[in-house]
This record gives sequence, C-alpha cells and structure tokens, in this order.
Amino acid sequence: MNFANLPLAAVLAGLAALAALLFLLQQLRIRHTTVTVPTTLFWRAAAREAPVRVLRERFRHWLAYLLFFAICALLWLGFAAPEFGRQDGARHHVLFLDGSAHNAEGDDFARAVAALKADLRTLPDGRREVIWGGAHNVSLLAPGEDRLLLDQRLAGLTPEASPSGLGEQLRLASIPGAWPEQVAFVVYGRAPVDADVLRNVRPGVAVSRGLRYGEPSANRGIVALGLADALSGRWDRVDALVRLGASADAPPDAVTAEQLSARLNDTSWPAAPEAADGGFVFRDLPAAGGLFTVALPGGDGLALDDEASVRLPRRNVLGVAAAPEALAAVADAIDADPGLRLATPDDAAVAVRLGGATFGGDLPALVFVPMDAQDAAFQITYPTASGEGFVGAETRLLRGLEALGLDQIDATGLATALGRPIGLVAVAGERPEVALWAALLDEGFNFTAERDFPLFLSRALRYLAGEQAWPRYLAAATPVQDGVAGWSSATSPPALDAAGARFVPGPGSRLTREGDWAVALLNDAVTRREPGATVGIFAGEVGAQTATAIATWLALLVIALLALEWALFRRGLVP
Amino acid sequence: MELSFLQPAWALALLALPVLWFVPSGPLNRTQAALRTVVFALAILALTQPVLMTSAARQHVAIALDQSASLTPAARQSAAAAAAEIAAQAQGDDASVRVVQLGGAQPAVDERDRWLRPNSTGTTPPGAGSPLGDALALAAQSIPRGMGGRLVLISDGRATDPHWGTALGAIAARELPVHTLPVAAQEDAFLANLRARPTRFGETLRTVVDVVGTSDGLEVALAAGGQTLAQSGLFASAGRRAVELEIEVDAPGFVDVEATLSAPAESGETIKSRLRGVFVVDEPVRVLYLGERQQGAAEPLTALLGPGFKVSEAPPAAADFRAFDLVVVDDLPARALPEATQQRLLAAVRDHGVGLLHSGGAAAFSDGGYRGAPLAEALPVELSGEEDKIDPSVGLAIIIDTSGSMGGSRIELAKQIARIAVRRMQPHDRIGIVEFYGAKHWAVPMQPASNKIEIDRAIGRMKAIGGTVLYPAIQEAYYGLRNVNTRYKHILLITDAGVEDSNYEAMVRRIAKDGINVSTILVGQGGHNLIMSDIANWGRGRFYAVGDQFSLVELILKQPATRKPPRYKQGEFPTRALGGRGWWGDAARETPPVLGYVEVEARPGAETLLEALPGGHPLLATWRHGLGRVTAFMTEPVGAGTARWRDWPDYGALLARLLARTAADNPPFALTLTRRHDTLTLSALRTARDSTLVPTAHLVNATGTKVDTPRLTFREQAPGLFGAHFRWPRLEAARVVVAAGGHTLRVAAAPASDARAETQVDPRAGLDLPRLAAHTGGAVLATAADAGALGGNLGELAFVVTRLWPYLLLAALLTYLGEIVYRRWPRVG
Repeated sequence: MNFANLPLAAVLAGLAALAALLFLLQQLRIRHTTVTVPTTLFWRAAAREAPVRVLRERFRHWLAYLLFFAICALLWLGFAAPEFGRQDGARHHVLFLDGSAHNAEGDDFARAVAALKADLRTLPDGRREVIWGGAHNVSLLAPGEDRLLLDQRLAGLTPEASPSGLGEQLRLASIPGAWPEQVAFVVYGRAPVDADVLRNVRPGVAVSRGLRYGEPSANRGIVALGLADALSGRWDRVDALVRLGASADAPPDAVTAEQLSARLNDTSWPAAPEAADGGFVFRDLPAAGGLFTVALPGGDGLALDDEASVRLPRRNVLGVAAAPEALAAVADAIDADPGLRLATPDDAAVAVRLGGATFGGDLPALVFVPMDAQDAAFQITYPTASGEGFVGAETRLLRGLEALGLDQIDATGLATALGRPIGLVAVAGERPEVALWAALLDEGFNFTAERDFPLFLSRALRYLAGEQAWPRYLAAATPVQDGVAGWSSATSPPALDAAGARFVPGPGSRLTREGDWAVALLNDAVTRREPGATVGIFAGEVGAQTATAIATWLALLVIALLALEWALFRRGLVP
Repeated sequence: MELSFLQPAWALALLALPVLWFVPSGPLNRTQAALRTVVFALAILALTQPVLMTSAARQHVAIALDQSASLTPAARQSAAAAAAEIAAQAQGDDASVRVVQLGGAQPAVDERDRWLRPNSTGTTPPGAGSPLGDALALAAQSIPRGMGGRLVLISDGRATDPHWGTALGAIAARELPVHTLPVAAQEDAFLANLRARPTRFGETLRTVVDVVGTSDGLEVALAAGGQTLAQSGLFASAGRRAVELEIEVDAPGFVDVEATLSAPAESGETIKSRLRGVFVVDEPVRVLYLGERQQGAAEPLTALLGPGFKVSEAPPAAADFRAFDLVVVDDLPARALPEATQQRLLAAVRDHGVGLLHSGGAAAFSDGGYRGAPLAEALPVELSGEEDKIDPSVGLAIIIDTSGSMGGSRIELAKQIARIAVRRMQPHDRIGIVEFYGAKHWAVPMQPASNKIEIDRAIGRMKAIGGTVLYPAIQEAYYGLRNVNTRYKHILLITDAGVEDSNYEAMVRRIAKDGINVSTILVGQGGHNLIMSDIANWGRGRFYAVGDQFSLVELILKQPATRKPPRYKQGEFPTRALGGRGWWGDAARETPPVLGYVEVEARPGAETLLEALPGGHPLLATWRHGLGRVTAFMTEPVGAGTARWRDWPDYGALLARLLARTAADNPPFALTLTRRHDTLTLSALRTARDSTLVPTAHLVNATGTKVDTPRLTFREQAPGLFGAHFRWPRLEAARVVVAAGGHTLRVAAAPASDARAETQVDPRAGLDLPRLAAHTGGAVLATAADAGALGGNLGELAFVVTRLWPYLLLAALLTYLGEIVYRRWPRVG
C-alpha cells in the first residue's frame, strides 16, 4: 500500500501523534472544590480560592479511546490517500485507445472510451497510462497523471482516417527498457493485432482487449488511388487508378462506373472511368495541380474509406535554351522527352551552355566545363538565398545525387574511361547550376549514348528549374515507397522527406512546405475489416484499488463511526 | 478554474444533518452540536469527491540522450552532463522532465524515464544501438496530448536505422520543437556501404565499397562462403573513399558477399569492419537467332558470345519476339520472313524495346528481297534490290527578311524567289516559311508542299515592316526542320543583309552537322556580302545574289537519281573502327579485315561503328527505332565474311558488347525492395508500354529454391505501380524473384539492410540534426546552457488537477479534534 499525499513515515508519525493527543485528551479531567459562599458577590473570589484540584486523571474508558482513535486515524488516512497495488514490481498497464479507422463504425469508439474509463478507475495512477492510437500514437494520460484529465485530453478526438498504430506501439514496447519489465497492453477498439507482431513482442508484454466486439458490418471502400503518366502519352495529362476492396461479407454486386463519382476541385469530372482489374482508371486528367476526388455510394460499415482525394501534379513543358555549341550534346535527349522543348533564352526556364559562356544570362544552367576547370566530374551549385541555410552541403549532395539520377549511372565505367574518379560536390552559389565535365560528352566516350543520359539530363533540367516532385501514391500513415516519388528541386526542400523522414503523415498533416498533398486512408486491412489475431479480454488488475475508491470507503466508515460515537455521547456512554 | 464532483449524489446525505440535533433526544450543547455537524458535513463533502482543475503553463521537457557506442567516451560524458544540466534548468523552471536514454551505463532514472537497450533484442542487428527515431518517438510520447513541451536531442546523429519518419510525423503534427545538441562521434575507418549496379550474367559484377573515416594501410576484401572473391590493394582513406572491386559470377541469381575492411599492418585484430550484401545477377541476354543460309550458326555464335547470352532458334512465324531481348536475323532472305512476321518483329522493336541485329551478305542486304519490305524501312542503312529512279524528299524552311529595309522591290523579289522554290516542291516534300521583322513568325508553318495555293497566298501577305533580328529566326527554322523526316533538308535565307551581328558560325555549323544545308540569297543589291556568303559556306549551302527580277535564281534542292543495287563485294577489305567507347569497350580498335560485305549507305541519323576501306562503306551501323535499337552488320557474323575475325581474340567480346547494346536494355518493371524492421515492401513500377503486364513474385532461399511462405501478393496502387508487403526476419537476407511478360527479374535486401552497426553509420545517411531542428522549429544548441532560453509549444490543454477530498477529510479531523477538546476543556463550574 502506498499513499498519494504523504510518505509512509509521515502517515505513521501522524497516527502516533493522534494516538498521543487523544491519550492526553482522554486523561484531561477537571474536578472542582466545593466552596459555599453566603452571597454571589463573592463568587469570583471563591472561584479563585477553589482551583481545580486535579487536571489529569488516570486513563479510563479505553473502549471510548479506541473509538476516538479509529475515527481520527481513518480521517488521517483519508487525507494521506492510500492506494493499493502501487508496490514495485506490479504490472504496468498501457491502455491503448484505438483512434484509427478500424474503430470508426457506429458507436464502437464511444464503447471503447467507456470501457477504458471504467478500467482506468480500477488501476493505480502510477502504473497505468493511456495512449491514443490514431495517425500518430500520442499519450493521453501519462503515468501518475490524474485520470480526470482524460476527459480534457479526449476532447475533440474521433477516429481518424488512418490505419492502426498498434503494431508500431507494440514494437516500441518490445525494446528493452522502453517500458517496465511487465507490461499489460490493453486495446480498446477494433484495431487488429497482427499475429507476427504478437509473436515478436518481448516476454513480459501481455496483449489483451478491453472489450469484446461483435462482427463488423459489411464494408466496401477505396483501397488505392494513384497516379501515373498518361497512357495516351500526353505530357500534360495523368491517369488515375481507383482500386476498390470489400470485406468478405460485403454484398457481391460490384460497383459500377456510374456509381463512382469523381470531382476535379469542385467540379464533377464528366468522363467515365475505364474498368480495370479490381477498380477503375480515369484517363487523361489534367496535370494542373487540381484536387481529384472520387467517392463511392456510402451507407456501409465505414464511411472513411468511401472517399479519397489525390493532388494532381502540375506539369509544364519545360523550355530549354541550348547554346549552339552545346546543342549537339542534348538535342536528341530533349527531343525524346515530351516534357522538354528547345526554346530561346527569353522563353526558357533553364539554359544549357559551355563553361565561361554567358548564354542564357541568369537562368539556372547546365554547364559543360573542361576537366581542368573543376575537380569533380559533377558539381552542383545551390543558392544560399533560398532561406535554407541550415541544409548542409552533405544533404545537398545526397539530394542532388538522387535528384539527378547520378546514383543510376555507371560511375565505374565512366571513371575507367576517363582515367579519373567520378566525384560529385555541392557548393553554395548565386544561382542553381549543375556543371559537368564536357569530356563526358565526347563522341568517343559515349556517355550521351548511354541509356542513363536522357534520365540524367531530364532530371538535371527539372532540378534546375525547381520543379517539385510528385508522388504516384500516398496512403495515410505509411512509409513512402521507394520509387514512387519523383525528383526534387534545387531551390525548395524535398516534398515528402522533411528531415529525411520518408513517411506519409496522417490526413490533415502538413506534408510539404509548398503545399499539402492529399492523403487518404487507402488501406486494405481496414476496408476488408481484417480481424487480426485473437487475444484475450482484459480481466482487470487483482488487488488494485484506486485512491478514489478507497477514499469513498474511508469516508463512509468515518461517517458511520462518527454517528455511533455521537449517539453514545448523547446517551452519556462515552465521556 | 473549474470545480467538479466525481460522486455528486452523496451530497444528498447533507440533508440528513439536522437529524444530529434531534436524535437522540435530550439536552444538547449547541456549540458541540454545531461542531459535530461541521465534521459530518466535511466527511459527506469528501464523499462527493470534489476536484479543482486549474489551467497551468507548466512545460514538459523530454530529453533523448544518446549514450551509444558511436560516441567517443568524452562525448558520452559531456552528453550526460548536458542532459543533467538541461534537466536541472527545466526543473528549476517548474517543468517536468523525462529522459529517454539510448544505451550507455545504467542511469539513475525516475521510474518514468526510459533506458533503451535495443542491442539486447534478437531482432536488432548486432551493434545497432541508436534507433534515434524510436528514442524521439518515446520522448514525444512522454508529453501528453495538449500539454506544452519541447524535446531536446543530444546525439551524434548516427542513427542506426533510418526509421525516424514516424516519430517526426507525430512531432511535426503536434508542433513540438526539437532542440538538438550535437556531440562528437568516433571517427575510426569503417565500411559504410556496399553496392553494385544490377548486372547481367556474363558481365563483370562491379561493386563499390564506401570506406568512411581517416586511416591508411587499409585493405578491402569481398568474400563468399569463406572464399575471397576480390581484394583491393592497400590504400589510405581521408574522410571517405569508394573502393571498386570486380567479381566474376558463374550463374544468374543472387550473390551473397561479405566485405571486410582490414589494416594488415596493425597488430592484433586486423579486421576493422564487416558488411554483408546481396547482389543481383540478371538472366543472360535472350537471343532469338533467325538464320537459314548460315547453317548451324547459332552454336558457334553461342560459343563466341559466352555465357552472358542464351541463344535460341525458332521458326520465325511462330516466334514470340517480345519474349526475347534481341532478335538476330542473319542472312535470312525476305521470303523466309513474311511481311506479317516482319511487322510483328518491328512492333516488338518499336513498342517493346526488343533489339534487332540484321546481319549477313547478299540475302540480307542485296538480293534477298527486302527492298520495300517493312524491315528495310527500320534498318539504319539504305538497301535497294534493282536499279530505280528515286526522287528524294526534301524539307525546306525559307527565312524571309520582312524588315523595313526590305521595302519596295526587295520584298517582292524575295516573294518571287520563294514562289519559285515552292513550285519546284513535290507533294511529298515539306515546306515552311519564317519571316523576321524584329520578331520571328511562321508565315507558313512546316507542312506538306501539296497545298501550294495557300502557301502562295501566305507569301503574298508578307509586308516589309520592323527591324532585323536574324539569329532567332534561323534557330526557329532549324527547330522546325529538325523534326521533319525528309531525305534532304534546307534552310534558305532571303535577306538584304542588313542583319545584326551575332555568333552565327557555331550555330550554322551545328545545323550543317545535323544534315541541314543553309543557303543564302542576297536581294536588292548586286555583288557580294561577306556575312551572307560565310553563312552559306558554314551551312554547306550556296550563296546567291539577286539584284533584280531579271536575275532570279532557280534553286536545285534535290536531284532525282538512279541507284544501283548494293552488291556483295568479295576480297580482303581493311576495316576502321568508329563510334565511342560505349560500343567498343576494351576491345582493340585495330579490327581485322573482312573477306566480304555488302556495299550500302548509312541513313541520316544512323551511327556508323565500323566501315570498310577504301570506300568507307558502313560495315556496322546502328540507330534507334521506337523504343528499341536496330543494328545492321553488312557481313555474316559467323560466316565467310568474318572468317579472319574469329581468330581475333577480341571478337567475342566485341560481338557480345554489340549485341548487348542492341538488345532490350530496360526490364519491364523497375523493382525496389525496402526493409522496415521486419516488414519488407516490394515495389514494381512498370516501365514497359504494355499496360496489361502484371508482375508476380516469390521469395527464394540462398540456394535459389522457392520459399512458399510468405506468399507475395502484388496490389496495384497506381497505374503500373504494384506494391506487396510481407514480413521477413530482419536478420535474414530477402531474395525476391519477379516474373513479368516472360522476363525474370530479381531484387534483394541484405540481412538487416535497414540498419547499421553503431560504428558503421554513414554520416551522410544519419539524422541531420540542424535540419531536424529547423524543420520542427527548434534550435541547434552549442552548449547545454543554451537550452535554458528556449521555449516550447504551449499546450492548450494544460491543467492541474487538485483532489479536494483529502483536504476535506483533514479538515474534518481537525474539527473533530476540536470538538473533543471543546468537550473536555475545563469549564468554570
């Protein structure tokens, strides 16, 4: 047993003091000497001359003393706020409130909250905590915090369009030292417990559910919404795939193209989609940065997966001004890329020139320089005035390496041919520039005929033009898949990897500094209502009593004893 | 401030208090009764459990403290001291503090602090003790929702896994600032990365090993199964060094290797670092050999090319060309390759990137019947079967100066010349007219010359106005002609030479090099003009001066001709290698003579790689055709024409390189396999144009045997983007085979590929502490003392809860004691 308000020593000292005080009071007995006076005129003098004969008497009425002490001791203990079950070594409880889309059907969430609160009352404050498992796992109640704060912390929370974070939380819990040795994870919600996760939790971590649910309702939803270059070959258009999923008990009738509604920004998209395997494909959507939304008819188990949005990329054909001396090296690759066109400097976003030339003026430039003009084969110059002074050269370098496709080139082959190692450096400068050895472009060397060269050129020019990457596919609260995002620009930070975090936050979170990409749920497991592994139901903690419950019993007992003592006193049975 | 009651119903008991005054009956000391009533009232109020909630600006400070082995001992000590100082500062400011410590010695911690020891789990790679993402996640979780707080990360940034995205997502969403305090890391040399480009079987596997740190006398070795595959010489590393090692592989599939970094000269343990990798060796080039006259050529071809090529033979009509990387049509007459089959073959080349090598002698290029056949149109050389008259097509861009100086008769002269030129054009020719008058403008966009009436009207509408800026007009004409597919291309510049100075020479020479001739006509004045004649000279065209309408010129833009069929020349002909190193590789450029070849001409745009002397006729030429490449070899690669070559030691390597570069070089899917703890994500992005291609995948073990579980199921996430997630032990290599459209592709993830040992984290791949701080609105701290002045997120739900009932019970106790004292206090009787 522990005490919330006082250390044990203080409690004991207090009890001892009370016992002593009552002992003294019990002995306090006043006896008076009888003095007969002829007149009341002298009563004051008589009182003075007849003092108390005995201040204390021997200890008597020990039963009454025990009653007094019991009352006082209970009141003192009530002040000390005793708790049972807080002793060291007892199990720690993590109450995991499922705030994911799994728990968004009907009153599932309300039931989960109610069950959690009920269990919370039975657990000692110091050895329990509450974690919200939505798009991000966030503490709602830290160990030791008053459970009364939970209502405040729950304010405004409803299940989010996000998969469950339970697996991640259990993984964290399995790191030695992350939680006390014995931890009971109690899940309040339908979030499935993955069998593999369950198998891998460390010994000492027990997983159970806080309440039992019935079978979920039948459901059908959107499980993928992704983009790709238009099959028609039009550079300024993209195709979008909408794939649907359904729970096993969903009605077998398939969704038709007519039932699937689509909007571009706020306008209904008129073209019907083509049926595809398990979904539909919308062809030739304008790549102009609009918000494309598709929706299914609602009315099934989950509403969160009945609508999904995606931000279409903004793709412009990039004008490239090539100096005549440099044109030969890049002309074919520009011709082959429908997103690039040759232009005059006035009409171009990027210039291509030889080192030392002024062609293109202040345009960001791809520059071919003699080998003796720079040590590294590739040199990226990035502007320092872009408000990104914190980005180190190393980061720039890595970003540039990937953005330019240089991680794909046959560096070994280049180095062998040139007799010099192929290096890449990043330097700060006034305007974006990518400079590479002109020797790489010699006909005898063949870099321009390599299959990597068009990729390099295309990426380099877009990198210089500051065009933003666009992701093909984003799903809420999942890692960004390699290869789904395009290149990044030189003058703005990469879109989805703030601080190198290749992770898509939940819906509503900010994804980029330039603007938010739409992120929808898009999760097979949620839409299919996968149940996960079976775990037991939490049975509560044996012997654990909260301070409030104990306080109630203490107060009731005190009131009863006070009433008893009052009745005895009034009848003269106790002094 | 808010007062609430957890059990308000107990308040009804207050109504019973008057009973004290009447039960039991009898005389009553009012004071005593009042005191007892107060005691009862306080106890009943305690039963209602009142709670007072007051808002508070109390901050939470969560400190993630790195004490892992990558820090120097001094850095560990200073980091711990800094954490203690920051904690003390925070507590002094009435903030609550939580510490999440990574590794190191057991700290003196509060029970709510965390001491992470990831090294002691079976799922973490040995030595990978700095999952900074996990530390940040736990630190952030210690700050409840709605509470104000800040995080402080004291670390070297060498995160042993890159999975900090989840934590940063939560931190950013909650707008919690992360202040970072960088500390020094160990700088001993180590292996940071081991990588290789995908390699086809038969090619040398080129690996790159990144050594990070500063040391000398180092050596890197690659080994597999206890056998050393490659070894570097001794080298020194100054910060970072990429060491390249080559491995010969004996079969397609997966190659498991272990790289070791050692310092042989050092005493004691010489191996400083180890790293494991799994490389992919793709299938050999699949070659379909279609040959008839060269009996049994497939077999010697296989022997020549080596194991990097898998040569098959099949009847052309039944062959599925898309299932091959390269089709070799060797000395096969057209009758053996029906037109429909040729169309299928060309479609496979054009639309699916299949390579085509057309080789042989007369049957292939002379009298084999290919003249006019679909296949002939795709070849990079001209071939003809009989003498015929040809009227080559021409593309003409006329640039007319319509500036003010061209007023009067000059503009009319220019129009006349243009009309004469248009009249000579045939319907299959193409023409466009650019006028320049300060700006450039297509008076007649590039179009077939069949519409002469409209073109004539457009010429008639031209007026002399504006200034003269020639350079962009020439550029415009050049760009207009570049995409025109005609045999000859001309730019005809008609002006009075009042043009601006500019660097015409480079541009015009470039235009001429692209096969476009530039001729100039000076109107309105007789004699000579240097710039106009120079432009014509640079442009390999002609210069004309037209003084008046009586000296108009007739332009000869093309010459109908007769052409004799190419013929197979026999004899000994020296050869000369052209083309870049990409085609020739390390093969010697001194090629032996050929004993026979077909004399043809290279088409414009084709690249000649080998020519026969003395005529300089192309012997080997190539160009792209749609997505694929077509190469023509005007002799038999394993026949009589190359009899001398077969004794040339470089012939096999050259032929292999030639075929490999002609073959399809893009697999139908680009694969990535990424690991996140024990979950792998396989991503397949379709690069082929065939939108019906769908990949399937399965796992194999180290011996290449299929593993049945887990089953890999691709789900399409975007058009052409397929994803599959599966669980796989983190410490085991994952080898995945993907099948699509007859191709077998491979991708692998090395054991614990998402993690590095503590002392092997590439600084470039670590957590960028300045960027982290900037991204979250934090600051980079130079010392712990700087943390005191930093703020945090002010929570909107920061409350302090005060339970009042213990104090009510205390008050009841005091009152009750008071009543007893009152009851017993001496009274004056």
